[in-house]
Amino acid sequence: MRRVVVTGMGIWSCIGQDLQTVTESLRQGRSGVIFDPKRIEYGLQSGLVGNVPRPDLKPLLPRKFRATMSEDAEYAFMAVRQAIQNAELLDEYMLNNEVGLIFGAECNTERINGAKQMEIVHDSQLLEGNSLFKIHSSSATMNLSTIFHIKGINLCVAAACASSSHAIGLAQMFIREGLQDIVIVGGISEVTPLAAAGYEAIEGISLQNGSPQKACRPFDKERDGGIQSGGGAALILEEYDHAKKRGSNIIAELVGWGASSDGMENLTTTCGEGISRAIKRALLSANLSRNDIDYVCATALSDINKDRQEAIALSEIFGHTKTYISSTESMTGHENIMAGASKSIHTLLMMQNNFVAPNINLENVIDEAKDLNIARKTVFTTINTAIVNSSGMGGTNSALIFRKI
Amino acid sequence: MTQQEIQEKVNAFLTDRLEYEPSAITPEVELKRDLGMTSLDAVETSIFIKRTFGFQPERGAVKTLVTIQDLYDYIEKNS
Repeated sequence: MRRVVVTGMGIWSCIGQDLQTVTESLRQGRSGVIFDPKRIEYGLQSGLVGNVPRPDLKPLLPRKFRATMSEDAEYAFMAVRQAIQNAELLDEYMLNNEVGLIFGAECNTERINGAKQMEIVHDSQLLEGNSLFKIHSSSATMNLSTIFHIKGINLCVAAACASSSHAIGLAQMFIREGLQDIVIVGGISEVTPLAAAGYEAIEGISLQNGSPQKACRPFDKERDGGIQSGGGAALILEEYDHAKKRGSNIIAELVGWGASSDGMENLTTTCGEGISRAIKRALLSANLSRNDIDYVCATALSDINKDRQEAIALSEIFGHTKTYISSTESMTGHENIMAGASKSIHTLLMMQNNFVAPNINLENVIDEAKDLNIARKTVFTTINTAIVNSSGMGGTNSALIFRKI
Repeated sequence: MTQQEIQEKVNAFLTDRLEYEPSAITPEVELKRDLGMTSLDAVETSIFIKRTFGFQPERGAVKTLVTIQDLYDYIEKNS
């Protein structure tokens, strides 16, 4: 079977906009969450948000590329640009080979803005000329394919907070099947207040406005909801022999992927049984047992119910074991569509630098998680094999397994 | 509106919105060949004309204009 390895990474997030800074943030347990009063003025009850800077693309891209990019496409560009540089994929290679691009992405608020504009002017000839290219869910891959000369498969995956994890899993299948040698994978999430409004309406957002950096508390009894965050994260997946031949720096091997759906009636939450099945499928696909797993990067986002369900699933498999567990969303806030890709990068950075990032703000652990070995402080240890767990609304679950080689 | 006023508004659009080099904006310069005007830039120019000068250019009309002077003249003739 063709093996799949990671040969490049790039990230644009609230805890750093380059790999080195993100590594330090993870090691130090540094939160990227702030209180932004403009969000209250806008009409939200929560001013909490991941402090993700909008990139200045002007020095990097001609206007003809920038003019058609949505906010999340901008984040995707910054992450992919870094990942391509990190993997030393030259322009010449991109022009002459069929490199793929699969990203986790969902609807962006440009679509709503376009609709609002049309409702006001009632004249299609007065709409923003480039809006068409911003309103698609595939705005990021659409734009990036022209910038980076993508000639292989090119699509987006929409599966709520598990989107980018599924994107990585699908890319693994394409490479294993011999359909692609390299696929750029990743995920993006915009951080506009409009995108947070729906989550707030279902009481899914933390209202601890007075303590931004303490508000995101995965697995803690005092948690009261997630915090909107986002940005972009990208990885280069490459077939092992191809990577060796190219002289690539191999970061780790993607050895397993498991996916499942809960099959429950409740849209807003996930269930432990579904999450557990995805993890077991991933272990099976990698021919590994729970004892082989040194670390699990959890999906927990500080949500009242989701954290509990994930704790139930993880306890069934990793309860009373030494496997370290933490959720990096305790630092980043909820990175939503991008989370599977960013957590993969977080995990690989920990693997490269021999530490487990802390699950910050965990003071009183919930009963469902009491049998788990959750890292409350940074642990300096070797990680050889790790699971990145993701699950999203509607009960879509995805677990990835990375192994050091 | 005088041709000078038209020129000022068009030049500001070409430099501020489409980000063409200010030093390159002279009447004889060709929109496609010299400035690299794309089909989407032409669409944006149509929208700019409608918003600024109050008339709707015919579909595809801006794409047929060759120089910046042609653009000034087209707006003056139709507004």
